[in-house]
Amino acid sequence: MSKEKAPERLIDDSGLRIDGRRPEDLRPIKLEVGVLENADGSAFIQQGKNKILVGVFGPREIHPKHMVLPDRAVIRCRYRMAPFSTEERKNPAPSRREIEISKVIREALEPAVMSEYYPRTVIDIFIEALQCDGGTRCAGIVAASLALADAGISMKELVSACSAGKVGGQVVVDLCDLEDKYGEADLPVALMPNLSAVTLIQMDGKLSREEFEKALDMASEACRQIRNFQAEALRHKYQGMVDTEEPPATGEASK
Amino acid sequence: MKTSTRCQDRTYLARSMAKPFMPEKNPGREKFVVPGSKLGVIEEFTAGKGTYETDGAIYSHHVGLATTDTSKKAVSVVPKNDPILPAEGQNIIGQVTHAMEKIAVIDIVKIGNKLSPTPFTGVLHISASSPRYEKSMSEVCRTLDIVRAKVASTTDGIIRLMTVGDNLGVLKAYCSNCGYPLALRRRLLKCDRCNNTEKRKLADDYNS
Amino acid sequence: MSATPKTSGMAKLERDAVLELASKNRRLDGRALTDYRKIKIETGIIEKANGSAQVTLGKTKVMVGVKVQMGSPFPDTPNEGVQTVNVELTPLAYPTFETGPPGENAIELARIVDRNLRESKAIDVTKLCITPGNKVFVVFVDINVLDHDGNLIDASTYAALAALMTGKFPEYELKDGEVIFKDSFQPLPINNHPVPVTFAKVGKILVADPCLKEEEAMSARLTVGIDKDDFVCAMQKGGIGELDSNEIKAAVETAINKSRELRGIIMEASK
Repeated sequence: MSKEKAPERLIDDSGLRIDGRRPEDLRPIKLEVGVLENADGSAFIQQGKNKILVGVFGPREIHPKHMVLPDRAVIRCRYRMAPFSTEERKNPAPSRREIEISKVIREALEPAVMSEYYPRTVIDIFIEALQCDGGTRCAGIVAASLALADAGISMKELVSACSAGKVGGQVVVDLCDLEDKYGEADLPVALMPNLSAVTLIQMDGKLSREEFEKALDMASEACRQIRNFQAEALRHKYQGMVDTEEPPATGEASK
Repeated sequence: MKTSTRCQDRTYLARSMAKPFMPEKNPGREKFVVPGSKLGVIEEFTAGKGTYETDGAIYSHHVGLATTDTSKKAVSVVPKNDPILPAEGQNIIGQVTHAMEKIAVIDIVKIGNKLSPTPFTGVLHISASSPRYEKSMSEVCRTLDIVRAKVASTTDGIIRLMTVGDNLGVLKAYCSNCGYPLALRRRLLKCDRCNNTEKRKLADDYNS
Repeated sequence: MSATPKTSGMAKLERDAVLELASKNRRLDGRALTDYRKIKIETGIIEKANGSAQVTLGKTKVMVGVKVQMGSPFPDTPNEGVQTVNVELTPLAYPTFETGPPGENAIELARIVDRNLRESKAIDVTKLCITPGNKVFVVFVDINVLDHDGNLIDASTYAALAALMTGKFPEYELKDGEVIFKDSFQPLPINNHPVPVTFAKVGKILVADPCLKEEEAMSARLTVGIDKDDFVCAMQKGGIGELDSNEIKAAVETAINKSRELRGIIMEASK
């Protein structure tokens, strides 16, 4: 029974979290752009044990035709968890949670996409969570916005995302699965960092107003940090294509 | 930059410290940018192609290279990758899915050199189909024909095609009686199976 | 798959008027920016339900029925009862509401109401256990939207809360492991009273309790759930626009103040 797996303490005496991070630490992130052959744009993110693959198709002609919007592109988004992505097998039928997350992710990405440049078309975003370790909606958004950029779709800004929350009485960022499950609060945030625009915010748990403000600020700061990684991942794929003055970044991003 | 958020993956942190793009210090030099990269403020530049302005600052729309035109004081971004979309002036190859009296509907399967597995739909009006007057679409193209056309306009997302031009028109035609490929015999198309003859607006490289 | 919704031509027609007013810090119906429409709460209207309430918020009407039935606990919480929230956007409530399985809007709405109740621990589920790991009470909160004029989230949660607060479940005794229900009832164990406050971003301002026309003109929506001790217990942004963090922080402050007043109304009606 999973009750037995509940950690005794989420924060130890030296103020470190169950995986040894400090409250403001992110988990290691690996980002890779252009990992799929057939998708118009794609990206892969590994964040802690999260492994999420995103493919983008479009702008392309929309079917069924009655969905067409004459003045902009329709954006469609599906967030799906693979049946093997969790401890217990997940039923492959779309759950209510997946349906809600598909919606909030779409609404998190819509403000960034210049959909009015592509009238009467559709942009399809497929997010496949292959392994889930807490914060998959945020990781999905990070990868999805890279996949959109990889498809060459015009955007206002990259959308970055990270959760903050409260575990063991401490406000922390980037909650892992156990912290999400046994912590006091979870606050996923998506941000277009350079425009200071929040495009997703949800919360569950219990936070005082002061704690909430601190968590929001910490999540925003984490988003800014992650945006640098996103830009770096795009640079890694694209810069070498023309600009050879600076050697392309090598190492982790390509693994 | 604030660094209160630490990432355990040091290699990433190190690389993320890359200097931000500062056009005024690198006049005329191209810089790699991503969507949302700040390119300058409106006091220095005007927002050129591939950029936009909001709250007095200019940002990139694309992954690409930002260049500043010092004489015009404009900053623009040339994208590294563009979505494959039918654009005005481009040649496309498509299949006629529906030919009516005055209009043909065409599935665009190739845009420029790139195949498109999920085709866009274009429309060809009889007035844009041929340099001569054509009475009926049945003398220009028929359902199932493969045609090369040029994108005349994409206003409001409606792809209007034209086949006026020597290299434009039907590339492959099929007999409307029996579906057999038609062979070109002295300006007329002949079905070698059922002896039917038909007319089309042909491209100069028909069947080649 | 979630897709950008179509906005009707009618919505576009009305949008300009709403935005024009918003630019002057005014609203269609003359309300102040943080004013709610008139709230009417009736409880105990469905005799066959264990608890029921109808909330009328302006012209929005939502009915909630609570049914309590015996069921099995979740394996990871063997000592706790189960709470489930379901929403039906009934076709009689709005011309574009359709029959069939719940769509993403109904599911999102249900999950926001559920989040408010669950995260504030509104229902004391530990008191709903009959035999640990085997039999517990399941509290079904079924929300029926009857007339839609905006802000379904708040109306639904207030109705759910009122139905739960006035709800009763059977007293029982265990005899040789058998559950024997008595004829008498006891009130549902309600510990907390979460009150969501929903804002719509219209033009550059946030307005509380948006009516349908304001929702059609809004770029984004923000719901802030506040519990009885002024803690934030749930939050949800909706819509295809964006918010800035100062706006969100200000909304939280407004929500804390507003929730006290709204909670008073709900408590009064649920006595």
